[in-house]
Amino acid sequence: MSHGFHTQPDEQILLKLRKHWFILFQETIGTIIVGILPLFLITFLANLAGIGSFFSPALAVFLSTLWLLLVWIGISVIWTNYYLDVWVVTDRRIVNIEQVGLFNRRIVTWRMERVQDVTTEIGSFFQTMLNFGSIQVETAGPTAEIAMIKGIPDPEHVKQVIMNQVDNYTEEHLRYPREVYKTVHDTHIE
Amino acid sequence: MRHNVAMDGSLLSILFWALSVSALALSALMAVILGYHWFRYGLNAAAATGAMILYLTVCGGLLLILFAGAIAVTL
Repeated sequence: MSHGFHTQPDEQILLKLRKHWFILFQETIGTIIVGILPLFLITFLANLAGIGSFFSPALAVFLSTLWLLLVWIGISVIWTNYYLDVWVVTDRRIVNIEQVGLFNRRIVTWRMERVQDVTTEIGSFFQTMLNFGSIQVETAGPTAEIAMIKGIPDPEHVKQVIMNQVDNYTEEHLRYPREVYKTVHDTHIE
Repeated sequence: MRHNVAMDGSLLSILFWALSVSALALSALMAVILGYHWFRYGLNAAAATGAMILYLTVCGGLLLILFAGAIAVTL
């Protein structure tokens, strides 16, 4: 299974996340309601005096089925977009794979050493009840940017994992130059 | 009295058949596009096959009803 990015040989995946199921539920329910409404409208129009004569049952079935087919294709696209949006946290980087529509796929990577700050936000009734929200990752460097990812389940836990990994990574990469410096320094003194 | 589309000539019949064939073509095209995404990026082979069977079953059922409707409307 490939999400369009490959880990390095000794890279370890810590978290692999998709948006919370409620996001998918919300979009699907919205589409289903939009899909069902015209069917009621057709039935209503068919029952109206005068207009009803235009709608033979066969015509109503034809139009309803055509509409339902479009709704079904729409739901399939929504599900695909949901499923292909993945957020991966490895021990070296954070990868945001975003499927925008059917032909636009965006993969953004932030290296751990560039992560400065992580902010979480749970900002509505459903988000509080179902424990999901958004995460904002602030990165350092010449192209400092703030990345916002919405609909992440258990954002506090995710933040904790990222911050721990940033600490580990920083500690590991600071220790190595210190050890090299110490070795060189000791050699010179001897 | 119910309106009979066939009374208006073949133009409306052509319209209904064109709509039906377009729906069939759109479903097939979407099956290819979605299948590409499912197999290439998202799912393992078994899950992608399952998703494709579900998609095609629903589309197939709706298309059958659609063509039956088109036949009924144009006759």
